[in-house]
Amino acid sequence: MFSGLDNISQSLEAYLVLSGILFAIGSFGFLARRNAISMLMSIELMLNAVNLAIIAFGAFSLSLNVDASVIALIVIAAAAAEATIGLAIVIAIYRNKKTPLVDEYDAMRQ
Amino acid sequence: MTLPETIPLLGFGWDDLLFLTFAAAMVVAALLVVTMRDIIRCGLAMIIAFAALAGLYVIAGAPVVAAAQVLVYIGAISVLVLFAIMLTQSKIGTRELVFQTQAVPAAIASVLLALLIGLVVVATDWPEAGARIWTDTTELAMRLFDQYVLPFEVVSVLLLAAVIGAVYLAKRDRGEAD
Amino acid sequence: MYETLIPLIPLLPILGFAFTALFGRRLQATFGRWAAEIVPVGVVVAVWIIAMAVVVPALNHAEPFGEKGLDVLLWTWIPAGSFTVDIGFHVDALTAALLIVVTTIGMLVHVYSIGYMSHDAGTWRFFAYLNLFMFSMLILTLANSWVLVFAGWELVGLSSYSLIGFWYPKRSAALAAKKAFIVNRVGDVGFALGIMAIFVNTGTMNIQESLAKMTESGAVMAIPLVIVALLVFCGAMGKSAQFPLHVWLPDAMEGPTPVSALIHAATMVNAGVYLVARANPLFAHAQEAMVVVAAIGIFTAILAASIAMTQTDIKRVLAYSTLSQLGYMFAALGIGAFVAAIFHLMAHGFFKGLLFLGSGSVIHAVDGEQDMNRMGRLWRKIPITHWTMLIGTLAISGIPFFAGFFSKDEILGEAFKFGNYWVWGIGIVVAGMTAFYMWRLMGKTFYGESHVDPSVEPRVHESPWSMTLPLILLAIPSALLGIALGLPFGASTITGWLEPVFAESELYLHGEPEAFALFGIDGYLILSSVFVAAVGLVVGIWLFGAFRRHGKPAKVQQLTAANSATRFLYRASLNKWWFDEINDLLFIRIGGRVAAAMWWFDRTIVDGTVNAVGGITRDAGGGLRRIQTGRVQNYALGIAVGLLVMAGSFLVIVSQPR
Repeated sequence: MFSGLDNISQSLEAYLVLSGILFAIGSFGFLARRNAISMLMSIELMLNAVNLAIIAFGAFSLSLNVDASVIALIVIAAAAAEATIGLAIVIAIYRNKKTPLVDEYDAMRQ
Repeated sequence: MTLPETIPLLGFGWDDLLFLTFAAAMVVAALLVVTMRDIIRCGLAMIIAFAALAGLYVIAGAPVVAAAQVLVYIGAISVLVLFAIMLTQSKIGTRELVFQTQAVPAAIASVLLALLIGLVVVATDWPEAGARIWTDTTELAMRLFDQYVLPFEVVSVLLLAAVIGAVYLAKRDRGEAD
Repeated sequence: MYETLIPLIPLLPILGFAFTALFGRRLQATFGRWAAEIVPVGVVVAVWIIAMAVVVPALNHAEPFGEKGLDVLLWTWIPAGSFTVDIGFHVDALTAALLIVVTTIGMLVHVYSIGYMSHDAGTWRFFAYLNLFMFSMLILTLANSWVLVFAGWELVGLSSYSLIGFWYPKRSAALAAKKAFIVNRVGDVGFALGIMAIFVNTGTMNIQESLAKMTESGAVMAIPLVIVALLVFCGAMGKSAQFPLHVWLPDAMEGPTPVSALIHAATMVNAGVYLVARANPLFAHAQEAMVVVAAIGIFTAILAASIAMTQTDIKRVLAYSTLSQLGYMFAALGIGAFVAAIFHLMAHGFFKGLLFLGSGSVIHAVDGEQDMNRMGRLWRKIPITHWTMLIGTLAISGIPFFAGFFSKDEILGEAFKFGNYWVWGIGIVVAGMTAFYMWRLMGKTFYGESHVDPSVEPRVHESPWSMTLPLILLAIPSALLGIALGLPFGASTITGWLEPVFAESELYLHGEPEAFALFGIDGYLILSSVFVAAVGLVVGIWLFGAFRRHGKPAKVQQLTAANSATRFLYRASLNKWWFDEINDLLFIRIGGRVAAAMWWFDRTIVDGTVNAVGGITRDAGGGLRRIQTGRVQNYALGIAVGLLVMAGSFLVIVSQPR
């Protein structure tokens, strides 16, 4: 019954499809949630999806193997920096608007 | 006692079982992150998702990255997120709407996006190496500090800037009432 | 030398205009009238001197004029590829003939106006406009390209408008000025179309070049020459007041008399004749157009003469007389007697100018009265005016050896010899009518009983020398010009002068001219026209008196009331054959309705469409504005959707089998 799943961990497509699904979930969360912190969590999910894709490519390609890990490490660091700043901004806005809901952040509207 | 080659009932290997477990956990956790009402629970689900990802990295043969994932994502970022949640709690809390008015179009777009990526991936002819390649840590370290030392240093500066920026942004103004 | 002299001719008057317009008022207020007059009058005298210096060699075909005339190019005004318009002047014998008339009469009118306008407060304005008019007319005459002629054409219309409506506080004057300008404009539309047609046909705006191209043998033109000629004639009709565009000229008498003399007798109305004469190759090759010209000309002649016989305003009689004589000129042009037409133009300029200035003198003498029924018995009191006007009357009537005799007779003679018997017949009748109504004018004004208003009577006096000197000076050519230019018969001086301009066309139309037979057909023709003129004079003298002989007003009354036919004719003539009323009905009433319908259309449909476009845009904008929510998530959704669309369509395209 599950014979189609044999050697699935050996197939590049599996990792990539997984990465795609994770990315889609992350983008849904980004577009649909009202709370700013939820949006940031969704962004983290998307970044992780990208990381997974990079590692997957590295796992199946000899020339890319080590470089993929390096890239993934740098991405993790950058994501950390971004999360820091993002949350600081959300806290600053919260202090101003007294609400974490992005519905209210429409000062760019004409 | 050595483990059998393939799992008796299911017919695929142990690696595959691990892969499927971690994959399922990750997807479920991610869905919980984006759909749950209580935001603290979302944060906890996010931690589980990160953990599952770390497992997947190990299966893919990148243990260093897996370690970094656990340390940074679960150890630092998730904690940071939880702190931020606590600092921005509003009294109204669980009575609000969870989703925006544009949730439905967003859902459709996301599904289409997943399908698009899936289709592209499946349709492309990947020249595979066959087996997963285990990344040698020594090799990684040599590469990181020799060839990629510039990005390494730049990332350090980036993190410094982020810290300073965050401190400045989140600091209370002098003379503020509360 | 001529390259410098010729541009000076129009340049000086425009400088005079500018100077007087800018400083005239101040000068007149500070120093008196003469200070404002000295520059414009001096300018015109200078122009006359220069013009005479240019005219003499031009008429005799001396170098550098030669037979074809001299071209002086000033600069290129519009260098737009094939449509190149130069500011340049072309002076040949025809130009010279016009120059004589324009500059001489212009100068004399300027001098006359010093006296005539001495009671008016706006004298400086008058002289400025007069100088502007001289400039315009000279540009028109000298121009060597159609566009420049048109520019002069329009400017002349503008100057005429300013001068007719000079006493603008008077409502009738302002209306008359408007009427003149608008009727002129109607003709100008045709003229402009004609110029465009010439450009389409030949690709050049230079007059000589375009005429040569259009009349080349075997040339095929995009627009038939007949159409072009008729369009050009439209302009001539407007400017020279031919039927049906003649209605403005009598009303134009609202302007001061010097204006009437200059513009409406001697110069502006001649512009149409000059235009057709200048374009004579075009007309010669479009003989249907020439028939139209002749028909309209001779019809106008008899129409105007019939109206002149009953008018009571002295200036109106002269105005209709001008219309009639212009009709003669066009008739001459239409039958191919170009030299005769120009000869009559010159003679008419002098004696009509004399008659108008004389009438101005009469009006001045009787303190502004213009109705002839309130004049009479003035010949003793204003002798110089009387004798000069008598000479003018004899000239216009065609009495032998005065100027009009030679020119009018030449027209009639050519008409008969070329076989245009209709033109000859109507022309003879008009000659008789001319003699009659001119003597009627003389009789009612100068002879018989005095009907002058008793309060005015003691103050009747001769005009100052500034007014009578021009009269005397004009009487001389009125008397002698004919003899000077018209003899010997058959090979007259003026024919010799103008021949190179018209020779080609006349040859094309009529072949070799026959010899003049004084004791043959030509003699008979001369006798017949003299006979008719004499009859007209005799009847006039019988009914209206001469010198000491009194007129018979009772008899006049009886004749006009004799039967219903004569009564109708009298009334029709008095009412100018109701043309003004017809125009009013057609254009103002009916045209007004049409215009109202057009306005409804414009408001509702055209404006409605434009407003609808604006409305749609506004509503669309209002709708689209709602995308601008200011929320990042909405924008991000847009990005996501866009990405999906782009990627999806790319995939679809790429996956198509080649």
